[in-house]
Amino acid sequence: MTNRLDGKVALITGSGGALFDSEFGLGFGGSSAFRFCQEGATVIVSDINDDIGQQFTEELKEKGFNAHYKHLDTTNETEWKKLLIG
Amino acid sequence: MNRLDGKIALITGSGAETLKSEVLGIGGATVIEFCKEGATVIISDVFDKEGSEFASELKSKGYDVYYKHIDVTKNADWDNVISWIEKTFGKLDILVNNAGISMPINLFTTTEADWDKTNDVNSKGCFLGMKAASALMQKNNSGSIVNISSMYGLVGSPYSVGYHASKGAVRLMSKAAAIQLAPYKIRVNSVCPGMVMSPMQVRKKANISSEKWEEFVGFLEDSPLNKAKKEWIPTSQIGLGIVYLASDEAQWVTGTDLVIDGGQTAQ
Repeated sequence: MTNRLDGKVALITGSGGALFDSEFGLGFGGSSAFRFCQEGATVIVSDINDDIGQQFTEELKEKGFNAHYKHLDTTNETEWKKLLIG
Repeated sequence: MNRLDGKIALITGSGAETLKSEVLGIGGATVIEFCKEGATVIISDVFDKEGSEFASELKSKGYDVYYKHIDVTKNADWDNVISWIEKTFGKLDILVNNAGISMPINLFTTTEADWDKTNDVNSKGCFLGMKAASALMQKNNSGSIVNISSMYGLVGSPYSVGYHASKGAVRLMSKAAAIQLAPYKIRVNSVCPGMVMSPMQVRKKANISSEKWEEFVGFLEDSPLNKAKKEWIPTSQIGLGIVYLASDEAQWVTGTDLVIDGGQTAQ
C-alpha cells in the first residue's frame, strides 16, 4: 500500500456492481475503488445495486480499508443532494 | 516510492541546471521524480559542466544517476550513449526525449537558420532518439518512450511558427512510432505541457523587454487553472505525468498525448 491519495475522500459512482470473486471480475468502478483504497483514500462506493454494493464494501472493510456504501441513482438529482448535503 | 524500481531511464535535455539553479527545467525535474521512484537515471545534455554537477549532487543524496553528453541532433552521440547503456546495464527501459529549444520570434522574424535549429533539436532529435533507443529496447521486447511535445503542438500562438511545427511533429511521430513499435511491446506517448515556469521562461524574461514580458505573462489569463491559481505550472508537475507514462502503470497506454496545461486547450 502506498499513499498517493492519503487524506482524500472520494465518491465513485457505479462502483458497487460486482464482488472480488465475480465471474468477470470487478468493473472500472470497483477496480478504481479498490485501487483508491490501496492508495489511502476514504472511498464512498455508490451504485443502484445495493445488495452487491454493500457486500463489496464489506469486502473492502475486511481488507482493512476505509470504505462506505451509499445508494445513488446518478440520474436523480434529489439523490445526489441527499448523498452530498444530507 | 518504487514506481520505477529497477528501470534504466535516459532523459535528454536534463542537465542544464543544478540544484542550485533558480528553477529546474522539465528534464531536471523529471530526473528528480524518477530518482524518487527508484529508477537509475542517465542525465544527458550538451551542458557538460552543469550536467555533471547535477549528477554529482544527486549521487550525494544516494540516487543512482550518471551524466552523459548527448547533442540530440547528432546520431553519433546517440550511438555512443546507447552503446554505453547496453554495455553497462544490458538494457534501456525508458527514454524521455525532452531536449528542446524555443525562441521569442514570429513568422516574420524567423530566419531559415532559426527554423532549422528549432526543428533540428525539437523534431529531428526526437526521431534520432526513438530510432537509437528502440533498437536496444527491441532486444528486451519492452520499453517506454515519452516525447515532450507542448500545448503548442496542439494549438497556435502569436509566437514561433518553427516551434509549433516542431512540437506538432513530435506529437504525430509519437503516434506513428507507437504503431510501429507495438509489436515489440514498446510504448510511445507524448506529453503536452502548458504554461510552465521553466528556465526557458526565466531566460526569455532576461532577453525580452519588460513590456514584452508583461504581455507574455498576460497569457496566464488564457489558462483556466493558471488564472485561478495565479501561478505557472511547476516543472515537477510535468515530471509526475512523465513518471506515469514511463511506468508499468501505463502498460496499456500508447500513442496518446497527456496534456498538462491547466485547461488552456480545453477552450
